[in-house]
Amino acid sequence: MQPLHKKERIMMAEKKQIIMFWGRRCPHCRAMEPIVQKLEEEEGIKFERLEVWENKENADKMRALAEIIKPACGGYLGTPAFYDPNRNGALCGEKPYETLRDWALAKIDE
Amino acid sequence: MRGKTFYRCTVCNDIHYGNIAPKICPTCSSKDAYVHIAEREAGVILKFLKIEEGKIVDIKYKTHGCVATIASKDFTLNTDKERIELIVQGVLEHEEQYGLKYCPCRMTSGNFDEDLSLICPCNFKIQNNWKEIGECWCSLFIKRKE
Ligand code: SF4
Ligand SMILES: [Zn+2]
Repeated sequence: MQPLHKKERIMMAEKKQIIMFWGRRCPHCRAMEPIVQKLEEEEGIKFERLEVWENKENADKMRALAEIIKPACGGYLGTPAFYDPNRNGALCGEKPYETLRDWALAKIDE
Repeated sequence: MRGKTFYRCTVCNDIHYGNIAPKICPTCSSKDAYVHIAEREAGVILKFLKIEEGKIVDIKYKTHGCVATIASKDFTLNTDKERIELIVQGVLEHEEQYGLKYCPCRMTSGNFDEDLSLICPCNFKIQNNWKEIGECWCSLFIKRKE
């Protein structure tokens, strides 16, 4: 799997969205969906949801980000994996509302 | 070096899969009784392969349900029924689709050997999740409280 090119990353970042890689039978993803919805409503954060088991393209997108996602998910391509193309960072798993909010709103500090 | 392959105990027909044959059979305790066999033979003995007149007529992986057979002193199943059902559904769908019970909470990398660590139940005690909060990555298994 090729790592994601800078160009593709910039294209992703321009959309100003957090990408949420999720799995259709993953209990963590199911638990996070209402939290994600609440963040969209209350904070105006946009999430692009990409299901990875049914959609091969989405799976490849996730795999291309393995270098970023794996360390955030304990060494695996865990779900849900939130990816912020702006700062090329990831947050993984079931998290409280505040944690995801603060992470999603954090400024790029690279 | 042959790599991982199947071995059969010539005394009790126990099947072993690995790099080397066990010295002592764990099923019947016979010593030096294993011979190397083909995958086909192993499949027929383990009843996931049925061959008639030279043709494979049935490939069936016996489904135990990934959780039914597992019991341990230090961990137990999560008591959240909905969660268990969702995970088991995922695991069985993956088995149907890929032949392996891949974990529904971690995506496959696409590298076959690497993804062998994602078969449920996995070796979850090496995960940080287990060390930190006492659960497997999916929270299917949780540490028993003392
Ligand atoms: S993390 Fe839990 S559900 Fe996933 S493969 Fe391991 S034991 Fe199964
Ligand atoms: Zn034996």
